[in-house]
Amino acid sequence: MKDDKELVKEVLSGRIAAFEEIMRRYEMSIVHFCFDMVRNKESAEDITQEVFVTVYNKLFTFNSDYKFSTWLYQIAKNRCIDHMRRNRKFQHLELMEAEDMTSGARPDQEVEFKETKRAVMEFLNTLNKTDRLILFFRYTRESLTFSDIAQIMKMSESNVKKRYYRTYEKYEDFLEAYKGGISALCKE
Amino acid sequence: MDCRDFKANLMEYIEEDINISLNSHMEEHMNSCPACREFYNLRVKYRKDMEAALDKSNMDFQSRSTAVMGVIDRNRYGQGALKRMSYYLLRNRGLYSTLAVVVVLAVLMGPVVMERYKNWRTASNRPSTYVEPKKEDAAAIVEENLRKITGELSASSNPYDYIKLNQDNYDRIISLGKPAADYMLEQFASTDSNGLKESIMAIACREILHDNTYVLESSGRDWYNSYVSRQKSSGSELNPSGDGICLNTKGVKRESLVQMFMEIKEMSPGVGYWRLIYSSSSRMVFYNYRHLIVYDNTPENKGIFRILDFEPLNVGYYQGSSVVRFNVSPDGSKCIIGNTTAEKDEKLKDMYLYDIENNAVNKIDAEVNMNSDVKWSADSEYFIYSKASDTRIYDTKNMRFMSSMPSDEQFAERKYPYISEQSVSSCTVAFDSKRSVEVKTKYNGEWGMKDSGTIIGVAIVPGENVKLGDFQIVEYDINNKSAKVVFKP
Repeated sequence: MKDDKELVKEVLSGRIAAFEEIMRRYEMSIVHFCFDMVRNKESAEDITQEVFVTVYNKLFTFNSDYKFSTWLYQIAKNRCIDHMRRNRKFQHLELMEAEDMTSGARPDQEVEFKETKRAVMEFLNTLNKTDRLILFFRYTRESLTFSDIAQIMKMSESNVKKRYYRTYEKYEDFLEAYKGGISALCKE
Repeated sequence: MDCRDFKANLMEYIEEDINISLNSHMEEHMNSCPACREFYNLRVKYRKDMEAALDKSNMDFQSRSTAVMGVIDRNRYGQGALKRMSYYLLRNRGLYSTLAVVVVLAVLMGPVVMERYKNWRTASNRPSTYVEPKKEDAAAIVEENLRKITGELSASSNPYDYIKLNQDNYDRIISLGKPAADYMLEQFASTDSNGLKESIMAIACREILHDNTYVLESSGRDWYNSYVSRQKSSGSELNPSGDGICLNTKGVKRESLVQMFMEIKEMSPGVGYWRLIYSSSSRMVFYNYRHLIVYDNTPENKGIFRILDFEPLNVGYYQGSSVVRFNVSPDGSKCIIGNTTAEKDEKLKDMYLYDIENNAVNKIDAEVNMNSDVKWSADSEYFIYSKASDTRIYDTKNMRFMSSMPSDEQFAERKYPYISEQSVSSCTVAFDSKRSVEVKTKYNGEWGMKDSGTIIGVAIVPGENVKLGDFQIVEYDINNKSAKVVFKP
């Protein structure tokens, strides 16, 4: 399999099929990431389309000293932020019907799974934009490394790690308060 | 390893971002401590929950590849020579503009450079058995040549035109060196005159004393007044030696450090600030794109103690995809210099040990990714690091690798309090996991701890036309919430 940089070279020398290969490789990763950011399926698809058109038009500016995927995610991140700015808000995360599906699980497991998902979504809403982005990048289909994330976010790698690790401590505190809140509601 | 250490390193362990030696300590501890194992299981569950909640494999997204392929200009990167050329021009526009600027500068500056070269040749043509003239002789020669230069009538009022007409006489003064400068400075001090002679003397003094500092001056006396006031401010509390270098450089030639620092003072500041990598009550270590500086902050020997030019080492650059990395021993006496890469296919470079006390650099290893942790023993004699899947222990005293760490050795503990987060004008001091304070200063720089109540930082001197040497050391007293500059070379 050709690596990303070889494909970029081929596109730049006029072989358009190489760009289709790049899209096949990354389209779903980018649409998933955009969905995390904007929480709307159609918007995520639209942004992904814009991202790839931009990538194609700007491909000659890609610096091959860096990883292609980090460049791609950087463009996707900026496009999503533009979109959110246009809509004047940072998306409040809610569980979408389409993703609220668990296949083949026992009903009790399904309930627990949905509850966990809801808790995670609530937790993500308590995070600031940077911490949220770091989590999204960490759980992309490519599982970006801390060094990749640092490059995309233009932060130091140690800062990225520190923030990511601290998020888990926050999650632990959040769960305690969240579960306390739920059981108080049950008693009522 | 105890439970506190286990918890402190747990996330790195789960993310497999830990060195092999620590990894096995973690596993050993977990096998012997049920509470920590439970804690580990819980964290792993949280991670899985988070990942599962963000998993979108059940969702059905529509591919837009057909739409993308329909709207893009398929001939944008066509085979046509013209298209390809315009693409290369656009892609390398930075390089071409730099080349254009260089060519223009060469055309404009060429004659000036040639002139300087001629002067330099004249000075360097002095016989090797050259003996510095006595002060009285120098005075007579300077006076005689100044008289000749100022005696020649010129239509211009520009002192440089007089020098040009009498270049040999001017070069003769310069060739006398410091005794000539001393005599001319005495002349400035003994009279109030401010004419052509003073202008010529100022130009000659600046050349002899390498005084390239930009001064807004309109006459020879203006330069002299500025020079005297600058001399007064150096040699003061902020710069005891006057030239920035500490008085006792312990085994290293002071002159060579002075020369290196004079060059740094003229260099461009580059893209970033000085990066502070080590601080203690007696020493600071910081670096920029080419130099590592060790600063002695003891009251009796305040000043720059070592300067290492790391450009000749095979360690990569300050920024880019192959990046130089440093790791200073707990006592500040040694520094490991290596590199890390941002690209998988980039080759890793060499790793060196810089013995700060003896000013010696030795290559230790090659192809080590310094991205992973380097751990020092508490006594700064051993360090341990990973190379690929191998763990290596190095004995700095005997300069050799060890098969295992001596059993009585301890790893260095992180000192408390410590700087947990920082931007250019603020930082957070963490006293422990519960208590921290945010410190804001008007100084833009990088911060570390000097002692438990004092933050110390290397900050850029504010102003325009800042050079690499324009830094200052600032101390911030946490209790009094006040900052002051303590060193300004």
